[in-house]
Amino acid sequence: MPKNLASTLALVTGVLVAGAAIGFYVRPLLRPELQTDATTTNMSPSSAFKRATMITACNFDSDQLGQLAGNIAPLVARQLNQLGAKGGIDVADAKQQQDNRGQGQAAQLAAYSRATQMVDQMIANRRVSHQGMADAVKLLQQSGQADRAYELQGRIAVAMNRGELTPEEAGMTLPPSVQNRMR
Amino acid sequence: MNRTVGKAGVLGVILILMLGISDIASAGYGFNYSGVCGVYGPGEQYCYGKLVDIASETQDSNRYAWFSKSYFYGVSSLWFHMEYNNVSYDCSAPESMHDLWNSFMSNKVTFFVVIDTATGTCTSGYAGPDSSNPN
Repeated sequence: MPKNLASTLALVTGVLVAGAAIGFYVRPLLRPELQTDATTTNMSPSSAFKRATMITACNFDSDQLGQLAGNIAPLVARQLNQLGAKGGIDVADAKQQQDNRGQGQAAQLAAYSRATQMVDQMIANRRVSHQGMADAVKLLQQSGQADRAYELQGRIAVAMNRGELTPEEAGMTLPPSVQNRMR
Repeated sequence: MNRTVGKAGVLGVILILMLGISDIASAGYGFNYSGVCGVYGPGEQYCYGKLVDIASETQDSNRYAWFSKSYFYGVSSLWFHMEYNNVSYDCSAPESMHDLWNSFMSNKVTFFVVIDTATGTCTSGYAGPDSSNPN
Protein backbone atom coordinates (compact mmCIF):
# COMPACT_ATOMS: atom_id res chain seq x y z
CA MET A 1 0.00 0.00 0.00
CA PRO A 2 2.71 2.57 0.83
CA LYS A 3 4.34 1.70 -2.44
CA ASN A 4 1.10 2.30 -4.26
CA LEU A 5 0.61 5.57 -2.42
CA ALA A 6 4.08 6.72 -3.34
CA SER A 7 3.47 5.78 -6.95
CA THR A 8 0.21 7.67 -6.97
CA LEU A 9 1.82 10.75 -5.44
CA ALA A 10 4.63 10.59 -7.94
CA LEU A 11 2.17 10.32 -10.78
CA VAL A 12 0.07 13.25 -9.53
CA THR A 13 3.18 15.36 -9.00
CA GLY A 14 4.42 14.50 -12.43
CA VAL A 15 1.13 15.49 -14.02
CA LEU A 16 1.10 18.79 -12.14
CA VAL A 17 4.69 19.59 -13.10
CA ALA A 18 4.06 18.66 -16.69
CA GLY A 19 0.91 20.80 -16.74
CA ALA A 20 2.75 23.76 -15.29
CA ALA A 21 5.54 23.36 -17.79
CA ILE A 22 3.11 23.17 -20.67
CA GLY A 23 1.28 26.22 -19.38
CA PHE A 24 4.48 28.20 -19.02
CA TYR A 25 6.23 27.29 -22.24
CA VAL A 26 3.61 26.12 -24.67
CA ARG A 27 0.66 28.48 -24.06
CA PRO A 28 2.54 31.63 -25.12
CA LEU A 29 3.49 29.86 -28.29
CA LEU A 30 -0.15 29.11 -29.00
CA ARG A 31 -1.23 32.66 -28.11
CA PRO A 32 1.35 35.12 -29.44
CA GLU A 33 -0.33 38.10 -27.73
CA LEU A 34 0.70 36.64 -24.40
CA GLN A 35 4.37 36.70 -25.29
CA THR A 36 6.41 39.49 -23.78
CA ASP A 37 8.73 41.51 -25.92
CA ALA A 38 12.10 41.41 -24.28
CA THR A 39 13.23 44.50 -26.13
CA THR A 40 10.29 46.42 -24.74
CA THR A 41 10.38 45.16 -21.21
CA ASN A 42 14.08 45.66 -20.93
CA MET A 43 13.89 49.19 -22.28
CA SER A 44 13.37 52.10 -19.92
CA PRO A 45 10.44 54.45 -20.70
CA SER A 46 12.78 57.25 -21.70
CA SER A 47 14.72 54.98 -24.01
CA ALA A 48 11.53 53.69 -25.56
CA PHE A 49 10.36 57.27 -26.10
CA LYS A 50 13.70 58.20 -27.59
CA ARG A 51 13.58 55.24 -29.91
CA ALA A 52 10.00 55.95 -30.96
CA THR A 53 10.64 59.64 -31.57
CA MET A 54 13.77 58.92 -33.55
CA ILE A 55 11.89 56.49 -35.72
CA THR A 56 9.13 59.06 -36.13
CA ALA A 57 11.55 61.85 -36.91
CA CYS A 58 13.32 59.77 -39.49
CA ASN A 59 10.08 58.99 -41.27
CA PHE A 60 9.00 62.61 -41.80
CA ASP A 61 10.44 65.05 -44.26
CA SER A 62 10.76 68.74 -43.47
CA ASP A 63 7.33 69.66 -44.91
CA GLN A 64 5.65 67.00 -42.86
CA LEU A 65 7.53 68.14 -39.80
CA GLY A 66 6.26 71.66 -40.47
CA GLN A 67 2.69 70.38 -40.49
CA LEU A 68 3.36 68.30 -37.43
CA ALA A 69 4.68 71.36 -35.65
CA GLY A 70 1.21 72.87 -35.50
CA ASN A 71 -0.19 69.84 -33.76
CA ILE A 72 2.34 69.14 -31.05
CA ALA A 73 3.25 70.95 -27.88
CA PRO A 74 6.30 73.23 -28.09
CA LEU A 75 7.93 71.14 -25.39
CA VAL A 76 7.63 68.03 -27.55
CA ALA A 77 8.94 69.97 -30.55
CA ARG A 78 11.98 71.01 -28.55
CA GLN A 79 12.53 67.45 -27.44
CA LEU A 80 12.28 66.16 -31.00
CA ASN A 81 14.86 68.72 -32.04
CA GLN A 82 17.15 67.56 -29.24
CA LEU A 83 16.70 64.03 -30.47
CA GLY A 84 17.85 65.05 -33.90
CA ALA A 85 14.71 65.29 -36.00
CA LYS A 86 15.66 65.75 -39.63
CA GLY A 87 15.50 69.42 -40.60
CA GLY A 88 14.39 70.37 -37.13
CA ILE A 89 11.06 71.80 -36.00
CA ASP A 90 10.54 75.53 -35.71
CA VAL A 91 9.33 75.72 -32.12
CA ALA A 92 8.24 79.35 -32.44
CA ASP A 93 6.26 78.54 -35.55
CA ALA A 94 4.68 75.57 -33.81
CA LYS A 95 3.58 77.80 -30.94
CA GLN A 96 2.30 80.45 -33.35
CA GLN A 97 0.28 77.89 -35.29
CA GLN A 98 -1.30 76.63 -32.10
CA ASP A 99 -2.01 80.13 -30.85
CA ASN A 100 -3.68 81.00 -34.14
CA ARG A 101 -5.76 77.87 -34.04
CA GLY A 102 -6.74 78.52 -30.46
CA GLN A 103 -7.79 82.06 -31.31
CA GLY A 104 -9.76 80.81 -34.31
CA GLN A 105 -11.60 78.30 -32.20
CA ALA A 106 -12.33 80.90 -29.55
CA ALA A 107 -13.67 83.27 -32.22
CA GLN A 108 -15.90 80.52 -33.63
CA LEU A 109 -17.17 79.67 -30.18
CA ALA A 110 -17.93 83.31 -29.46
CA ALA A 111 -19.71 83.78 -32.80
CA TYR A 112 -21.82 80.67 -32.30
CA SER A 113 -22.66 81.67 -28.75
CA ARG A 114 -23.68 85.15 -29.91
CA ALA A 115 -25.80 83.75 -32.75
CA THR A 116 -27.66 81.37 -30.44
CA GLN A 117 -28.20 84.17 -27.94
CA MET A 118 -29.76 86.28 -30.67
CA VAL A 119 -32.12 83.47 -31.68
CA ASP A 120 -32.98 82.59 -28.08
CA GLN A 121 -33.71 86.23 -27.33
CA MET A 122 -36.08 86.42 -30.28
CA ILE A 123 -37.80 83.25 -29.12
CA ALA A 124 -38.06 84.59 -25.56
CA ASN A 125 -39.57 87.79 -26.93
CA ARG A 126 -41.90 85.61 -29.00
CA ARG A 127 -40.93 87.56 -32.03
CA VAL A 128 -38.53 85.94 -34.48
CA SER A 129 -37.72 88.38 -37.24
CA HIS A 130 -36.30 87.59 -40.63
CA GLN A 131 -33.63 90.21 -40.16
CA GLY A 132 -32.67 88.80 -36.77
CA MET A 133 -32.29 85.32 -38.18
CA ALA A 134 -30.30 86.66 -41.12
CA ASP A 135 -27.95 88.45 -38.72
CA ALA A 136 -27.49 85.30 -36.66
CA VAL A 137 -26.76 83.20 -39.73
CA LYS A 138 -24.34 85.85 -40.94
CA LEU A 139 -22.35 85.52 -37.72
CA LEU A 140 -21.94 81.83 -38.40
CA GLN A 141 -21.02 82.42 -42.03
CA GLN A 142 -18.40 85.00 -41.13
CA SER A 143 -16.78 82.64 -38.65
CA GLY A 144 -16.73 79.74 -41.09
CA GLN A 145 -19.62 77.89 -39.50
CA ALA A 146 -22.30 78.24 -42.16
CA ASP A 147 -22.90 74.50 -41.94
CA ARG A 148 -24.23 74.98 -38.41
CA ALA A 149 -27.07 77.28 -39.46
CA TYR A 150 -29.47 74.37 -39.18
CA GLU A 151 -28.79 74.34 -35.47
CA LEU A 152 -30.21 77.85 -35.18
CA GLN A 153 -33.34 76.69 -36.96
CA GLY A 154 -33.41 73.73 -34.61
CA ARG A 155 -33.83 76.13 -31.69
CA ILE A 156 -36.95 77.47 -33.35
CA ALA A 157 -38.16 73.92 -33.90
CA VAL A 158 -37.69 73.17 -30.20
CA ALA A 159 -39.72 76.23 -29.24
CA MET A 160 -42.48 75.26 -31.67
CA ASN A 161 -42.51 71.65 -30.49
CA ARG A 162 -42.88 72.85 -26.93
CA GLY A 163 -45.67 75.18 -27.89
CA GLU A 164 -43.60 78.17 -26.80
CA LEU A 165 -43.71 79.79 -30.19
CA THR A 166 -46.53 80.04 -32.67
CA PRO A 167 -45.96 80.38 -36.40
CA GLU A 168 -47.10 83.97 -36.18
CA GLU A 169 -44.66 84.73 -33.38
CA ALA A 170 -41.94 83.20 -35.50
CA GLY A 171 -42.50 86.09 -37.85
CA MET A 172 -44.40 84.16 -40.43
CA THR A 173 -46.74 86.29 -42.42
CA LEU A 174 -48.38 85.34 -45.64
CA PRO A 175 -47.81 87.77 -48.48
CA PRO A 176 -51.06 89.06 -50.07
CA SER A 177 -50.48 87.05 -53.23
CA VAL A 178 -50.30 83.81 -51.28
CA GLN A 179 -53.28 84.77 -49.12
CA ASN A 180 -55.35 85.36 -52.22
CA ARG A 181 -54.27 82.04 -53.67
CA MET A 182 -55.35 80.19 -50.55
CA ARG A 183 -58.84 81.67 -50.50
CA MET B 1 -60.43 72.53 -52.50
CA ASN B 2 -62.25 71.69 -49.34
CA ARG B 3 -61.75 73.42 -46.03
CA THR B 4 -59.39 70.87 -44.51
CA VAL B 5 -57.10 70.88 -47.49
CA GLY B 6 -57.08 74.65 -47.37
CA LYS B 7 -56.07 74.67 -43.72
CA ALA B 8 -53.23 72.26 -44.29
CA GLY B 9 -52.12 74.17 -47.33
CA VAL B 10 -51.93 77.40 -45.34
CA LEU B 11 -49.87 75.64 -42.68
CA GLY B 12 -47.57 74.33 -45.37
CA VAL B 13 -47.08 77.77 -46.86
CA ILE B 14 -46.43 79.16 -43.40
CA LEU B 15 -43.73 76.58 -42.90
CA ILE B 16 -42.16 77.44 -46.20
CA LEU B 17 -42.14 81.10 -45.27
CA MET B 18 -40.63 80.32 -41.91
CA LEU B 19 -37.88 78.23 -43.37
CA GLY B 20 -36.67 79.72 -46.54
CA ILE B 21 -38.45 82.98 -46.74
CA SER B 22 -36.87 83.19 -50.13
CA ASP B 23 -35.37 80.97 -52.78
CA ILE B 24 -37.67 78.03 -52.19
CA ALA B 25 -36.06 75.21 -54.08
CA SER B 26 -38.59 72.48 -53.62
CA ALA B 27 -40.84 70.95 -51.05
CA GLY B 28 -42.81 67.80 -50.51
CA TYR B 29 -45.83 67.42 -48.34
CA GLY B 30 -48.92 65.34 -47.93
CA PHE B 31 -51.33 63.68 -45.59
CA ASN B 32 -50.62 60.23 -44.42
CA TYR B 33 -52.69 57.77 -42.49
CA SER B 34 -50.15 55.21 -41.38
CA GLY B 35 -47.65 57.75 -40.10
CA VAL B 36 -46.81 57.74 -36.42
CA CYS B 37 -44.76 59.91 -34.07
CA GLY B 38 -43.62 58.99 -30.58
CA VAL B 39 -40.77 58.67 -28.12
CA TYR B 40 -37.73 56.99 -29.67
CA GLY B 41 -35.31 57.15 -26.76
CA PRO B 42 -34.10 59.47 -24.02
CA GLY B 43 -34.43 62.97 -25.45
CA GLU B 44 -35.48 61.65 -28.84
CA GLN B 45 -38.70 61.47 -30.78
CA TYR B 46 -39.41 59.72 -34.04
CA CYS B 47 -41.83 60.07 -36.87
CA TYR B 48 -42.35 57.66 -39.70
CA GLY B 49 -44.80 57.26 -42.49
CA LYS B 50 -45.23 57.95 -46.15
CA LEU B 51 -46.35 61.06 -47.90
CA VAL B 52 -49.42 60.64 -50.04
CA ASP B 53 -51.18 62.83 -52.48
CA ILE B 54 -52.37 66.12 -51.07
CA ALA B 55 -55.37 65.97 -53.38
CA SER B 56 -56.84 63.01 -51.55
CA GLU B 57 -60.42 63.62 -50.53
CA THR B 58 -60.20 61.67 -47.28
CA GLN B 59 -57.24 63.33 -45.65
CA ASP B 60 -56.86 63.90 -41.94
CA SER B 61 -55.62 67.38 -41.13
CA ASN B 62 -54.18 66.14 -37.85
CA ARG B 63 -51.89 63.72 -39.61
CA TYR B 64 -49.80 65.29 -42.26
CA ALA B 65 -46.11 65.58 -42.91
CA TRP B 66 -43.95 68.06 -44.64
CA PHE B 67 -40.39 68.06 -45.94
CA SER B 68 -38.80 71.15 -47.36
CA LYS B 69 -35.51 71.93 -49.00
CA SER B 70 -34.76 75.56 -49.39
CA TYR B 71 -32.15 78.23 -48.86
CA PHE B 72 -32.03 80.11 -45.62
CA TYR B 73 -30.29 83.37 -46.43
CA GLY B 74 -27.85 81.61 -48.68
CA VAL B 75 -27.51 78.55 -46.50
CA SER B 76 -29.09 75.28 -47.52
CA SER B 77 -31.97 74.41 -45.23
CA LEU B 78 -33.71 71.11 -44.69
CA TRP B 79 -36.82 71.01 -42.55
CA PHE B 80 -39.24 68.34 -41.41
CA HIS B 81 -42.67 68.97 -39.95
CA MET B 82 -45.35 66.51 -39.01
CA GLU B 83 -48.70 66.92 -37.32
CA TYR B 84 -49.76 63.91 -35.35
CA ASN B 85 -52.77 63.95 -33.06
CA ASN B 86 -52.69 67.72 -32.74
CA VAL B 87 -49.00 67.78 -31.79
CA SER B 88 -46.34 69.36 -33.99
CA TYR B 89 -43.05 67.61 -34.62
CA ASP B 90 -40.44 69.87 -36.21
CA CYS B 91 -36.73 69.54 -36.82
CA SER B 92 -34.05 70.99 -39.05
CA ALA B 93 -31.51 68.73 -40.69
CA PRO B 94 -27.83 69.16 -41.57
CA GLU B 95 -26.69 69.35 -45.16
CA SER B 96 -25.36 65.81 -44.90
CA MET B 97 -28.96 64.60 -45.08
CA HIS B 98 -29.62 66.39 -48.37
CA ASP B 99 -29.89 63.24 -50.49
CA LEU B 100 -32.14 61.62 -47.92
CA TRP B 101 -34.45 64.63 -48.08
CA ASN B 102 -34.70 64.20 -51.82
CA SER B 103 -35.88 60.64 -51.22
CA PHE B 104 -38.38 61.71 -48.57
CA MET B 105 -39.80 64.38 -50.83
CA SER B 106 -40.34 61.95 -53.67
CA ASN B 107 -43.56 60.73 -52.01
CA LYS B 108 -42.52 57.21 -52.91
CA VAL B 109 -40.62 56.05 -49.86
CA THR B 110 -41.33 55.50 -46.22
CA PHE B 111 -39.59 58.06 -44.08
CA PHE B 112 -38.25 57.59 -40.59
CA VAL B 113 -36.91 60.66 -38.85
CA VAL B 114 -35.40 60.93 -35.38
CA ILE B 115 -35.66 64.28 -33.63
CA ASP B 116 -33.32 65.46 -30.90
CA THR B 117 -35.80 67.17 -28.61
CA ALA B 118 -33.11 69.31 -26.96
CA THR B 119 -31.68 70.79 -30.15
CA GLY B 120 -34.62 70.50 -32.53
CA THR B 121 -32.38 68.88 -35.11
CA CYS B 122 -33.07 65.77 -37.14
CA THR B 123 -30.35 63.43 -35.96
CA SER B 124 -30.98 60.57 -38.33
CA GLY B 125 -33.26 59.47 -41.08
CA TYR B 126 -34.16 56.35 -42.96
CA ALA B 127 -35.93 55.83 -46.24
CA GLY B 128 -37.58 52.51 -46.90
CA PRO B 129 -39.43 51.16 -49.92
CA ASP B 130 -42.66 50.44 -48.11
CA SER B 131 -44.65 51.69 -45.15
CA SER B 132 -43.59 48.99 -42.71
CA ASN B 133 -42.07 50.12 -39.45
CA PRO B 134 -38.27 49.89 -39.79
CA ASN B 135 -38.06 49.09 -36.08
